Amino acid sequence: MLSKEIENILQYVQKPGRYTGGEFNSVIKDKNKVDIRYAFCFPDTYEIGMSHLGMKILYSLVNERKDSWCERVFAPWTDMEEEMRKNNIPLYALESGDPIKDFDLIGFTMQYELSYTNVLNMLDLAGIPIYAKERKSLTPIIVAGGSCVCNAEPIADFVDITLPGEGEEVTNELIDLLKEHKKKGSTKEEFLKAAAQLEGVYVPAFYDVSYNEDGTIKEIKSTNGAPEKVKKRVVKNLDTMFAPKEFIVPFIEPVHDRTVVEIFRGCIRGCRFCQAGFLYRPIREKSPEVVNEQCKSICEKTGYEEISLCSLSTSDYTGLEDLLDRLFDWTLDKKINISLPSLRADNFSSSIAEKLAKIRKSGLTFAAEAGTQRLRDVINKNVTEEEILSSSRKAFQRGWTGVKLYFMIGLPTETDEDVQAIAELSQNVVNEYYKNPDKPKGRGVNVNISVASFVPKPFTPFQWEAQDDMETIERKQKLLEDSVKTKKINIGWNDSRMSMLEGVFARGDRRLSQVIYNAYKLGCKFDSWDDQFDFDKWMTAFEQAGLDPKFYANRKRSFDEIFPWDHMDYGIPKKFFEKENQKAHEGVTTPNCREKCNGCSANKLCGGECHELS
Amino acid sequence: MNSLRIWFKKVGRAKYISHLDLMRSMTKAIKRSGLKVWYTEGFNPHAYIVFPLPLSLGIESESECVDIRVEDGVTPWEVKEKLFDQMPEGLDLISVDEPFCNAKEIKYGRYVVTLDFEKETDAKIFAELSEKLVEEKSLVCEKKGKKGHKKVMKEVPLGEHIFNFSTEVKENTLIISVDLSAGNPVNIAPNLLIGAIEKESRVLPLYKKFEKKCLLTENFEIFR
Ligand code: SF4
Ligand code: SF4
Repeated sequence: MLSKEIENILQYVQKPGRYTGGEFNSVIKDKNKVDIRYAFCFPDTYEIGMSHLGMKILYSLVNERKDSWCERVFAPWTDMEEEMRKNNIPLYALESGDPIKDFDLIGFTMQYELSYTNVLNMLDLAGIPIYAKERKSLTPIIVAGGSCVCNAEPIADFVDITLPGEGEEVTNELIDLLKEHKKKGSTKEEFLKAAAQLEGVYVPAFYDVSYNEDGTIKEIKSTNGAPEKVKKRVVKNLDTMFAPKEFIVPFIEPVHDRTVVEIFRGCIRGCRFCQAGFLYRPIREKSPEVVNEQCKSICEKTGYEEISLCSLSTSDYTGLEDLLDRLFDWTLDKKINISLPSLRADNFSSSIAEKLAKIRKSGLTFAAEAGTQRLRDVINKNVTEEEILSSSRKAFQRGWTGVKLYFMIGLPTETDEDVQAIAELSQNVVNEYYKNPDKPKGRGVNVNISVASFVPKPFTPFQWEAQDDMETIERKQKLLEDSVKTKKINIGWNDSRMSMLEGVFARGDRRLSQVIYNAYKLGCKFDSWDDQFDFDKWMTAFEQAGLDPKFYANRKRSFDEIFPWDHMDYGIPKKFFEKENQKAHEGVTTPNCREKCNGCSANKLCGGECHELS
Repeated sequence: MNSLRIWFKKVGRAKYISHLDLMRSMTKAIKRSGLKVWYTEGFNPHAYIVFPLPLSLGIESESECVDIRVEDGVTPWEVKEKLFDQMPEGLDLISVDEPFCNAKEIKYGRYVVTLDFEKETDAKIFAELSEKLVEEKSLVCEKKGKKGHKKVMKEVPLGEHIFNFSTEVKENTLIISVDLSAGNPVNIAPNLLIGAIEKESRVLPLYKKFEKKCLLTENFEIFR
């Protein structure tokens, strides 16, 4: 229940439904009958957070336990924050309306680097000290998970624990452990020491980092008995893994409002720029029977009329046709649509296409990533221009009039010809449309190209590479813009300044905590929102900390440099990435994991060989 | 095919559900219930649901209604049975009937407004002032309206739209009961009325609670 004070300020803010809770399927428990209160925080708006599958999984997982109550918290938009601060209303959880500072665990999911200031702002709004070392009592413990924590160093000063890898199992273990230590009346340090022994738990405070004169890292030493290398956590069997049977049904419309079920984790492709592809190795599939049952249950319990099958590369799912048949069995009748994001261009087989034709036309997307075959070989994006064109042709023949193409600029070894080739490839797709004799009369084609700036990420073969500086990116954007000769092609960019910051924090060390703190103090928040982003403040924040963003973003590293994240073990040794990096510079591709195992060692995380897992 | 009118409350935090969101929520609730309802034809078929009168955001209601169309043989009792557990918190199902009145017959809404003041004298000052202003028929409110395609603020005189106005002060709380024009062509929400009085007043309430009791037809009879 919301207090009168909260209810009262809601009349002055935009979209009050963001802050009320009370949605269908949200979980209300008796706070006096649980041992652990868990605040699951998403450091962005309600609409974005409520679209996030990871949050739905953990919410259901924790609430399945009788002894715990998980509630949701999102970053209040600036108008709500203002009202809350004016009326001394601390950040509260949506289910109970209770302030989260009294909770036991406060978990943040870190999906993108530009949400770091929101974490600080949310802690402050909750009345919780921002620095971990200033929080002396056992609870609340601040935990962070999500893909960003493969290198959690930039937020090392703020969080008590991070959970590298997959959270399903370790969350339960962490709750058990905290419950035990609460009963024993342990100190925070005693608890953290014990937590550091769990697989998939990292306690940043237990690692001492020393630096060389040039600013690179000299040594990372573990203390307090914490492991030298922190191993990521992996769920071995997706069929038996916890998965939600129902979702909360939001009142206000989130970005994605539909049933979402994972079909597999990991990816068989080793695109060299792609962090997700390596972070979630090895590939593990969920069987079509299980996916089908989970879809059915969620649809029944939510009333959703759309199902989205979630994975990194949907068309690589070996059970796709089987699954579609099972789904069609009951969805057609119930007027439920199915959407398949992340379809690849190169294996858009015609029998699947036929099945997809039954489904309402959603957008068609192809990830080409680079304009020339040479550069696609460098990044190991094993798709040819002919494949993209023939897939487009087929799609146009089936009545599509729009295509979205994904590209990147700023990739290693990229030349101006590579950039211009993006325009040529897009033009060729446009031409395919006009070659089609059956194209709809009077309708033109729309080719939207989304051109991201490449950001080198940890745990990829490009982790040593220099990121193009902002001037170079902007020059290349201009070059591409000038190379596009038709209005049928629309280009979407990333803000080069945001990409630069993303790059800094992706590969940053823990000295950057100071920069994040400065930026937060200067008023930075919602940094991934164009209307809130304030680049000048960020530059001031770097200056105040005496750190140079170029050192982190635009510097090429040598193979023997110690990385800030070298004490994280995601199952793939640095040597493998080094070899892949060399192959990239030689323009040599690596076959996908189904064609041939390339010995990345990720299979050892699950024991056995990768082909046995799927 | 049969039309049915579903009556429900909209109380507590559910008062902050906007009209559009309420429509989406009801559609999903109906879908979950598994009821055989009538779907609109076309490219994107959806369950047919119509609200006789949308409720403004922030106002609680003791009796909201929505009309749906069900396949032949589906009884009001079955709808109530199946829909009951599918309603979100604060949207409590009251009853399901065949519509008695036509939505066009809606003329007034009956409201209770509860205002908390810092002290009793403030509540009394506000009560007296509002009695006087209502008596004089001089109140004017600002209302969002459209001029062509543009959204503009329009001034609407309230004098002709306030009925059965009464006040009651209990300690530092003022309770106002009032009937206001509702439906077409003029729909006056109670927060507009209070806002108009607030503009003239030197004391302001700390908390405001708006409740709709029911809708009324021409002769102040209850809309069913
Ligand atoms: S196909 Fe390539 S880019 Fe896509 S998830 Fe797999 S590795 Fe990453
Ligand atoms: S062990 Fe082999 S098959 Fe498995 S992910 Fe690594 S390279 Fe691919």
